[in-house]
Amino acid sequence: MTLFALPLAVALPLALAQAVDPGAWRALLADPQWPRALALSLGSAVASTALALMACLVLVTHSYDTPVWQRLSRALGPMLAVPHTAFAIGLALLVMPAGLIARLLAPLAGWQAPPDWPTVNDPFAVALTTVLVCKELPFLLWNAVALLTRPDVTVTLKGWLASGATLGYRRSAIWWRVLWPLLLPRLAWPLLAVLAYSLTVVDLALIVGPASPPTLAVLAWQALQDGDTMRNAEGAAMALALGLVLLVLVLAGWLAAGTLSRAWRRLAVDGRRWPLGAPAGAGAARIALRSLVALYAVVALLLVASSFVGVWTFPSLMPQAWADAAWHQVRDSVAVLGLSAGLGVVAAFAALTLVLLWFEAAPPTWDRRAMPLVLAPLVVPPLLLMVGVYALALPLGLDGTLAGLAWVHTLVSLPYVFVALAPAWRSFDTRYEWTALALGRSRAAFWWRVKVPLLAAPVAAALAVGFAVSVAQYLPTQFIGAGRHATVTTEAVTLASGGQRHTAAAFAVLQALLPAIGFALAAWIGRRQSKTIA
Amino acid sequence: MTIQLRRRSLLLAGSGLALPLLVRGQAAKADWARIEAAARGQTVYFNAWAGSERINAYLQWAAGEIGRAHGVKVEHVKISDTAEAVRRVRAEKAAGRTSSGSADLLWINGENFLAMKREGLLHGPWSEKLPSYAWVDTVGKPTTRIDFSEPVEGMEAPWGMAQLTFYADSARVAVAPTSLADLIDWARKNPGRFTYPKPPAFHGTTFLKQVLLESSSDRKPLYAPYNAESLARTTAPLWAVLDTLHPHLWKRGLQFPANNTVMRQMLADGELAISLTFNPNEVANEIAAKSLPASVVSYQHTAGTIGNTHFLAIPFNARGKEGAQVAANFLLSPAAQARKADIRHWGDPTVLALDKLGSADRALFAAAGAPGQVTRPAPALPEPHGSWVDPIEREWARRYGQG
Repeated sequence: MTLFALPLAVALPLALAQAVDPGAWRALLADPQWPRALALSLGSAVASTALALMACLVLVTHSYDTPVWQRLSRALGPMLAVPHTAFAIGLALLVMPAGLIARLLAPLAGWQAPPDWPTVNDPFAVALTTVLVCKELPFLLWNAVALLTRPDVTVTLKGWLASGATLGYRRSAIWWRVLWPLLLPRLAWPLLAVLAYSLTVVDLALIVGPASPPTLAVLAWQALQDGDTMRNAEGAAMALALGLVLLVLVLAGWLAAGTLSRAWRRLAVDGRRWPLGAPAGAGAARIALRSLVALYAVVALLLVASSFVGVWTFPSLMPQAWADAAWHQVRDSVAVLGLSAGLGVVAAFAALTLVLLWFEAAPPTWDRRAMPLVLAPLVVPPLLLMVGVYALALPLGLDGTLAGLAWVHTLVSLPYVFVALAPAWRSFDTRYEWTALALGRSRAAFWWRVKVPLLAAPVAAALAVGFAVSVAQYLPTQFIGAGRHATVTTEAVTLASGGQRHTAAAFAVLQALLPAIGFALAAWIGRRQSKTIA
Repeated sequence: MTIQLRRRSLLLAGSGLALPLLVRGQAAKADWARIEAAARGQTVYFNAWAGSERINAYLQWAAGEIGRAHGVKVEHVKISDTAEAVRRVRAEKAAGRTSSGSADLLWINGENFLAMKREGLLHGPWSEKLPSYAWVDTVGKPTTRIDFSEPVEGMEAPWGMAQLTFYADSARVAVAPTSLADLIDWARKNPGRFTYPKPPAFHGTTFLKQVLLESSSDRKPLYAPYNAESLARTTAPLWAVLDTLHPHLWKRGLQFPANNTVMRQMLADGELAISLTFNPNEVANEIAAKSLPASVVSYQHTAGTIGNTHFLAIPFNARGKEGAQVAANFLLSPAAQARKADIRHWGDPTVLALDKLGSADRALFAAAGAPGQVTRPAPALPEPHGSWVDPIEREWARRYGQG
């Protein structure tokens, strides 16, 4: 725990010291862009989180325990493995003014030049919100599936659904009246992570977000990138402002959830059978899921195709020139897969161990106290955080070493592992433990023979998330590794800084490879486990 | 061989006239021999932007040559932004790591150099003592000694030249507009096909400076530190031009692209017809890499465009300071500079004065032109004083930054 908390304890004051500079706040308030930038950040984050949550609830309600459910858990892995930026680039290739759709329409409309479409970088951040929803929905579903496929939860759920049905409630009515009010609080952590991510994301906002002005996170990042330390302080102030916004949102959400759940409970027991849950519900869920999978497939295909594209002038449907230079670069970088995978495995297991120790040693009520510490790495800009972490690594002599890299990767993966595992682990029925102890089993035996097998699916899911987070790290790898240890992500990011679309596209495939394997393994373990016990 | 002999005899002939100079020269030679000896066996971590496959390949070649000739191992640390390395060195200083730092050589210029110099993060002065420095064109290329209005003072070695260059698809732009007035005219006739990156993106700010220089009747105040009273008067021509130009830009000047690589892609897609870059050879490179159509041409505004130099610097806490100097000396040598200037390898204009070189060395630079290269180079205009950048960017944001 110290290993995790100490770097933050060092890094956060460093960040704060910069952020409380009154000159920085004066400069920030004098910047005419910032109210609009804040509104854009807030709007896109809240809207995308709410939409992703709604979509997640509807999809689960209508697909649970149907054939779609099985396919869902299989489809999520590849979707999660697609790097955020790659998805944004791919979606832009589809809908931008010179994108595939516009090219298909060009002969009909008689366009010789790309139309003036506001489909990417639109001033209201609609494109950014859309990409966020598409990327966050699989993450929420992944967490929901990990929670619901736990064998003991499955048993309870089926019981509720059966008894509800005998009382004349349709399945969807049971979900909305009974199950969601019970289950939703358990998804609070993943939801919080989604909100924090959407509020602070920079790379996606640069690709598809608004530009004049950009979101507040982008403004902060630009100021932090600057060579001028005064501008850095301004960036730190903006980052602090974003942190405060998140805090307000969390408090507001918490208060709203309290009020809402009381109202919801009253509504749930009013005895009426509404919502009737039209039989079309399941069909709609199937269509929605298929559309999502289809969108990802089109995006992935476009990405792979564009990695071979040289010159492709509008309105031609076929590129004028093909190029395989990007794949030569990828071939030269394949050697770094080993280090990326090794770091990911070490970081995921180390983070899991720490999280499990916390879960076993600390009562659930402490989770709220740990919240700032868990959320901080998600919200504090990596540029600020890494300066603090580096300051700690230097006296310890960890800079440039593999041990240092493993440590920092654990540090950044840990919050995600926590968020992914908390819903399932914290809601584990303690009666299993009492039963085991009453039967004369030791705590250790209970842990290994009952708890871990029952929780295998969520544990595997959380490991896959931690692994993927580790593989995606750029700044921590560069800072603590002193730039001496290359991973797939450092290769991808440095080469992509040249702004070549085909390079970015080709490297997205390389970057997606390892997480895809991780998620597939986790999904397989989850399915096998639920089969053996059921 | 004969050329070398001739040069030596010339040197001997001149030596009688300047004996003190020769003595100093010999001392310098001995110093350099010491540095070379100390460098042998060192590893130099060269932190350099790695966004181009060609540049990475060039650095790999250079590392091989330096290793063979001088026994110095050069490792390219690939970074996406020089500010990353600056930040790392700054953190090292804050943590009291005054030796064996993580970086030995940095590719740097402008703001990052200014920050490192002011904060005492640089080793030096060293660059003017490099044997290869004798060939640098400090007269014809004054930006080799003044980096964005900050005197270099031997704290970094000039490595390559850059100059604001426009490029257009000749299939859609019949006559390239080679002045600001022509550009405004062209934009009026071709609405929505030109724009510039949103300041403070580097290329966007440079475009503002270019407009300011081209539209000002008196440039003198721009080369002195900015003062608040004259700000409105001095920058008035800039805002007048932008007010005229913006309605004819992409998205009617209400939105601006994030950076110039986005603009290059938009030009390749056909969304824009004119874009801009800081590397006069970028288009030729992109055409060779099949990323831009062969119909794209580069040009500069005939009255001159903003030019600058990029440099090599050594952090104050570098472990291999001698090795870094040996590497920098090689990178400044005619052979390395000629290969770098060659469009087949990188296409980065040299900092050397060709007339200072012997004819054999000069011949190395006589590579054939490539499609897309600037055919009629315009004079390079020095950057306005750095203190103007911030107020101009802020005023731009106030006027146009809110969509």
